[in-house]
Amino acid sequence: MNTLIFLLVATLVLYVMFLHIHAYDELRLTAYRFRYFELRDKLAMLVVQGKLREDSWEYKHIVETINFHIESVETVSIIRLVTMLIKYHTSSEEQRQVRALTKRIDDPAVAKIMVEYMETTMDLIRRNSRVQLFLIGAVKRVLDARGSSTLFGCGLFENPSEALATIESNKSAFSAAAAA
Amino acid sequence: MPTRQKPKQAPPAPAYNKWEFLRDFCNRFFDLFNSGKIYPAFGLFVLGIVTLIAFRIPDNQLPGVVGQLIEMLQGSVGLAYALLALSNVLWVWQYREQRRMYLREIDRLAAIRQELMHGTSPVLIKEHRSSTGQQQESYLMPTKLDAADPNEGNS
Repeated sequence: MNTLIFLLVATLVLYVMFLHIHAYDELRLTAYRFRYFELRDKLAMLVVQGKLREDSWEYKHIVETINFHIESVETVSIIRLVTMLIKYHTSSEEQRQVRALTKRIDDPAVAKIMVEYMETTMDLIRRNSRVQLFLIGAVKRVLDARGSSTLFGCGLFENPSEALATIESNKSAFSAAAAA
Repeated sequence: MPTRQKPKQAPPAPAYNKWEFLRDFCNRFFDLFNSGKIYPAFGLFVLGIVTLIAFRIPDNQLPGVVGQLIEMLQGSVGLAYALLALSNVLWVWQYREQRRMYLREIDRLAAIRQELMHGTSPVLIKEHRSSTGQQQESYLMPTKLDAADPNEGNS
């Protein structure tokens, strides 16, 4: 009987911990939403101040991209969110768009918004894939030591490190534009 | 010749007696109920009962009760109570964090509103672009007909 009561209490305690973790995750995702809202508002204020045209391609594209991230954070589960953002930021289409943006953006204020957007997205991916990053890193180190890391080149799983490296590289490009 | 008057001394404040303490305590207790804070009110109520029992127990039985409590807290029940207390502390922290976050967002929006109300720029944004209505949803990335750079390759 005591064992049964203990199991019941343990289940309830675990359920409460689950609720805590869920609520904390919601809180963190809301914080990311607010950061994206801030970026979108900063961009809109540039239009209001006459520093950026509303019908320009870069304004439309940046707003769409930020909206896509807000929508994803609001509606997609954390498990899918990471996979989705990794695919998005490593896709050739996104790379093409980023190259076009780096060519077209000549206002340092817009470039600064892009840098902040990249930082927010990196934080988002890193925060929600810490265990995945750790495990992949550990397995990679073991395979490297044995001289066989072909597993990482065959696209068996999504690797957050690749997305983070791509975003970091894009961020550097925009940082240079922001400093100019 | 004006006579020197002794400065009037304020009458000494009456000591804060137990009736005033009871009055303040009852007022705060009812404030908790009136503002919907049932949880701390219930906590105070339970604490009051525990205190009353502790005072009513004869002195020779008190060490035995304390011993039983310590024994209980050392077992799995104690772990459950510890987790319960931790859970409450975490919940309060989370509530405060959330409140801080929302207040910061409100401040940010208030600053934007102020700039829009008192700024001098006549430029208005014509098209509303929100995360719910502006873009065509897709699994991977935002797709819109004019999403591609029209000058790609030219610049």
